[in-house]
Amino acid sequence: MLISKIHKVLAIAARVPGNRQRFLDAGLLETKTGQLVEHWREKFPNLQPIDKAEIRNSPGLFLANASDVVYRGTTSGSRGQVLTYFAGEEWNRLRVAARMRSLRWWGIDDSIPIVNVASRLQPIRSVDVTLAGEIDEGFLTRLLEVLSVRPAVVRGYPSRLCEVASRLYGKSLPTVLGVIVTGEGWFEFQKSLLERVFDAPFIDEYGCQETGISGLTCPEANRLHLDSDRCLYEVIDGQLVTTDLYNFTMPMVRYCCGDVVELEETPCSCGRKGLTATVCGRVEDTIETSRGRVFSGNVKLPPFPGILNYQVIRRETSIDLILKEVVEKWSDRNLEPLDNWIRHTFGNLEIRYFGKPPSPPEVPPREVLSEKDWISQLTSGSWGDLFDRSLPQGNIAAAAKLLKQAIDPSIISGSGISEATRNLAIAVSQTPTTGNPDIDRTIGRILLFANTVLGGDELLCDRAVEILREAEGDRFSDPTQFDLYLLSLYQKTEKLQSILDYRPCQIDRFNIHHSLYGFEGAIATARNRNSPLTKSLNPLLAIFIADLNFFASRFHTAILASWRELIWNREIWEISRITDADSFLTAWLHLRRAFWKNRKTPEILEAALTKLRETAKTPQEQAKAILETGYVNLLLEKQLDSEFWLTTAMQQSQNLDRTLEKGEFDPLPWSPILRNIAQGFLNGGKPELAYQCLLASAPPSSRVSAFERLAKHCNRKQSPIFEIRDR
Amino acid sequence: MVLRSWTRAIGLVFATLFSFLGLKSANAQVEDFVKSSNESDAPRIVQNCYFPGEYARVSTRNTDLNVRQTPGGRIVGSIPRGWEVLVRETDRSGRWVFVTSHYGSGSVYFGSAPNFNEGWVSADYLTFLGSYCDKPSMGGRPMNNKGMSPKPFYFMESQLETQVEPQRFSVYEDWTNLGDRISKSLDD
Ligand SMILES: [Zn+2]
Repeated sequence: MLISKIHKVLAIAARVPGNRQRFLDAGLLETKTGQLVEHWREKFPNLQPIDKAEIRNSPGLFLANASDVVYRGTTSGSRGQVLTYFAGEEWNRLRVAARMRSLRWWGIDDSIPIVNVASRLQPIRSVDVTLAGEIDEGFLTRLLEVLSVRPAVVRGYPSRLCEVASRLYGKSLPTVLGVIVTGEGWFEFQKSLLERVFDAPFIDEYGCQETGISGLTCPEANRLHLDSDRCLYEVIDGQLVTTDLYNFTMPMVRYCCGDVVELEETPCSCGRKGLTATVCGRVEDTIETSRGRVFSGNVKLPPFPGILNYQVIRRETSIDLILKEVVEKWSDRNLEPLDNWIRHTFGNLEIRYFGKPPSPPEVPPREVLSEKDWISQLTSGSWGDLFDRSLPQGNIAAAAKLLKQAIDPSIISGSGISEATRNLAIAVSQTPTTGNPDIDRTIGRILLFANTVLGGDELLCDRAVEILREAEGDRFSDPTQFDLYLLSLYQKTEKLQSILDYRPCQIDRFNIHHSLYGFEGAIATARNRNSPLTKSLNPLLAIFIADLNFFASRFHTAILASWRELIWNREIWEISRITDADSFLTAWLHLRRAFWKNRKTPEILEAALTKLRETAKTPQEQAKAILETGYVNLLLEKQLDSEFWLTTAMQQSQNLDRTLEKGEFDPLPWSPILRNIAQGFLNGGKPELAYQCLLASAPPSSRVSAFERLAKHCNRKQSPIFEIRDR
Repeated sequence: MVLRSWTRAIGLVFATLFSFLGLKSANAQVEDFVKSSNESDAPRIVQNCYFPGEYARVSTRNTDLNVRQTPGGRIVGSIPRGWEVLVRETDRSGRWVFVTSHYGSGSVYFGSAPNFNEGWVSADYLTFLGSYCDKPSMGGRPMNNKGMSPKPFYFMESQLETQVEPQRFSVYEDWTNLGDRISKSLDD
């Protein structure tokens, strides 16, 4: 069984140009045919392992398939070396299953949330959440709030968890069911601190995503069990070398992940089969000690009384000791055992003690905008700038906070829905109106926005409409009408349809930001309804965003209706009723109707396309018509010429979007096309272009964006022991 | 003796410690389609983050920021206002930091910062922006309004047979930035 799996992945890997030379050198390939030799099993041990740096140099050369790309991952960038890799459907399914299986050893089933803390770890299941960002009082409060909702498991980099734990030391905590450390090696004092503070079992999770390596300690014997079903493990020169048995998209054969491990020779007493191992650390992380140079993971770093969290830096002639957190009742005598231990471990070097590093200087607070200015910037200024400032005071304050929380959540949840945001939205909706039309109108719109982010809530929506009616009267303004109708993309709100009349519509910046979130909800709806368009025009979200970008300055409410039809696959209006759309827009509306209504009828689609091309006057319209031609080809499942389409995309990108700077390419509108042509490049012997097309076609996501923003400050791993050669 | 002196030291001493650790965050990367005749050294991802340090923006009012050989020492260069620099080290007082460019030291010449040199500058004139490596993964459009470094993410010239200008691209753009970018067309 294992042999046939290895054979399968080797046969695929053998065809990948990046592997060719080393496979030849090992005698694994028939020189004439390039096929795997019959006695490949004898030759396999000759195969030179490969490391991340080599793959990263030209990742495309390792791509075997550009069609089955379900999973795209980015490796953790040790020393900044990041590799984006791709994997297929089966790989992803098995990955999730293996994880579930080992978590169950600890009684962690799908109902128990895993709370990722202060680490660059995304929520994996829908019950999971991530708290990231600076570890300040607000952070600790949020963490305790999350943990008190129901018993959960805490997970993170050990160094980061310790930073949190040392701040919580001595406080009473809600029940924690386990502490999972991952991402970096852990040390004795860390385990001791985490067990004490969280009063929960200590679980070690080991993984190296790109290789399919995963492992978890068992509760009975606390040994690290490597998941041997998905991966072939070997140890060569002390380093872990693996062959991923299920990645047929970008096969990793004899991949050296840079971790030094020792495999246990005896089976684990817990009775589980498979390999168990001890991880000693990264191969490059060594440190000079009195017993010679060792892997830093082999230095024990024991707990010392009075010292909660510390860090050891080995310099050439001294040891720097950072006491990151000590107990409140501190006495210098606490240093004695530590001092002795250092001398014992490193010999007679000068020891320099350091306190907590000061927090970075605070950025001076920016000017707070008045209510009026805030509202004005909300509809006609930059949101990036607006939400970089403190929120306004006054009647708008609560709604402003709600909006900020909706776009910049402090907790990322796996389900995408934040309870805190929901509660705040309900509170805002229950506040009486102010009587000031500008403020009330803004509050109403923010409630609609929250409704979108929360995935649709009838009551919230009704209240928002009520507030807006009060502020605007019976005839809604253009922006309000847009906001209201946007809801119908993802929510069943037949009653909204009656308020829409088809006319040109001047939208504002609030509308644009709102749309991005609305589109995500709309695409999710389409996917749930199994709309065929989500498969043939993938990512459909990119197309909606591109449409918005194109039509924003000349918007017409009929475009909303057209989007709605794509999502719901249902005719909801008569195009002939529109008299005040320009000829290009009319042609475009007809084409888009054919997208879902006549998607199998080439004649109708092509006729509509011809009409669109004829009406395209400006370079921008012409570029849009070309783009739509690409979409139509995708619908008709035509083979796209890779060379032609990549060149076209690059040439037309600037025409399509005149706000782009020179030399800048926006892959978004073209991403369904780029995704499609990747395989063509691969077949045509241009694997690097295939790889780049896959990279560029990444589906956009508000959640990834929110996570990145939150994690950017405080997600770093920090080994508690390392060496610096002085400058 | 150490025991007596350390309490005093604790308030004073601070070094930039986090630079060389097993720092493994995903980071922005440059996608580059480089024209090449030889496939094996053709397109590759150029890493933006070989230096996992803090970075900061020069925030002097009008003048350039002086660069000194040692903390408070001889002036060896200057950096214009608004430039982003990498912080390599902080002196014991915490008032002076050693900065360098994204491209490392030495041989780099910047047209718009002809006096650029690595060295010590006063921390008072820097706005710290976080870790250089913690920029959004997968590229991500530089988030100017969030203080992210607007480094170019270069894109593609290529194995393409057709001649096209090299173009940079990014993916996983910040969502708010994306909205602001689309909004630009409303100003026309
Ligand atoms: Zn076991």
